[in-house]
Amino acid sequence: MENERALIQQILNGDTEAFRSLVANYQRLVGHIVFRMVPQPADHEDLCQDVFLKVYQNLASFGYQSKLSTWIGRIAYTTCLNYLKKKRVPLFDDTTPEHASLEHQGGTDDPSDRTAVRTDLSQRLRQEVDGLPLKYRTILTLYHLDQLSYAEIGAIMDLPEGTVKSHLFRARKLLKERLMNKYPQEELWP
Amino acid sequence: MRHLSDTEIQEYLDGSRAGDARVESHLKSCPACREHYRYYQRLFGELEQDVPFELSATFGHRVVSKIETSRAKDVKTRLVTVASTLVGAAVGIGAVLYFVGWETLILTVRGMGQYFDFPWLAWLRSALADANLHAPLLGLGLLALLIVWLIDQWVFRSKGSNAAPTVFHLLQ
Repeated sequence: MENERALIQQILNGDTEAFRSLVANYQRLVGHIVFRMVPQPADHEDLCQDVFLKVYQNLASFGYQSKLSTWIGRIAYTTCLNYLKKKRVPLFDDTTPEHASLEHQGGTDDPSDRTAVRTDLSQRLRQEVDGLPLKYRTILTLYHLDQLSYAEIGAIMDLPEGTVKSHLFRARKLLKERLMNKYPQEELWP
Repeated sequence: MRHLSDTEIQEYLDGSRAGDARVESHLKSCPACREHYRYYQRLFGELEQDVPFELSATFGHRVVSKIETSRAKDVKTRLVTVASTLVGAAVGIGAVLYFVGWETLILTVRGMGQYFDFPWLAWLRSALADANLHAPLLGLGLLALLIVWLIDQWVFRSKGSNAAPTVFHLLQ
């Protein structure tokens, strides 16, 4: 925390090297949020850049009311939401887009296709996660990849802790059911 | 025998039900729940695998150079604004002098002197005279610095450009 304060102070004094190190510390968190929320890969890097520019411009208003990671995560989350609104991508629908289903993507009746699909479990899981509603996949990412607490995720997404927890549990259940319906366990995890 | 719910299994894996004897004994005796448990266990493991995202190797460098470019633009804008404000002020004073005239202005200022007839001011004047310093010139210099400082703080700092240099940084 003290190191964080010192780093922020250096940045506020105009030290761009200090900001470069802040970018290195938090680009993984920002990348996870952007890559999970925004379906267009071409825009990922620009969005990450926008997030860090906003961080830089608003750092003076960071009042140490939360962890820096939570504050940066919130900027990344709202930047992505604004981007999605601008692109008119439906937000927070609880239905799964049909195109996200592998059955509709791969034509799995063909045994060779089936083999190809079977080759990459992580990819299959990622596709299923991408098919989940936006809130669910964001919460899954922040909890499992960034190891954030319910409170921190709630602060980023402006949700009560209880809602974060129930979304997380529902997301994992939904994911499990979808995977179980599509693949027998031995096929997924031989 | 009541089966374990999805929530109970997930809580057990999350650690919030760690050591729960009922869950543990049920998992030992119920193959159906054990299968759900294993499924979740693998799912949790997979979810913790990193998302394959790639930012270019020069990402940090690009962000910083974009900031430096915008700072340079910001500095130019500041200088232009400060210069135009000072020119504006000079034109304003010039116009007042042109229409009112020096003499009227001096008489007005002298007339106002009675309101500022403080003992400490007289002491300051004599102290400056003893030190061989020209009080009005010194006062004007300080006033100019004060104006520049106020412009810098009020006009530019309020825009939130926290790390951009102030006019005083530029002068250093």
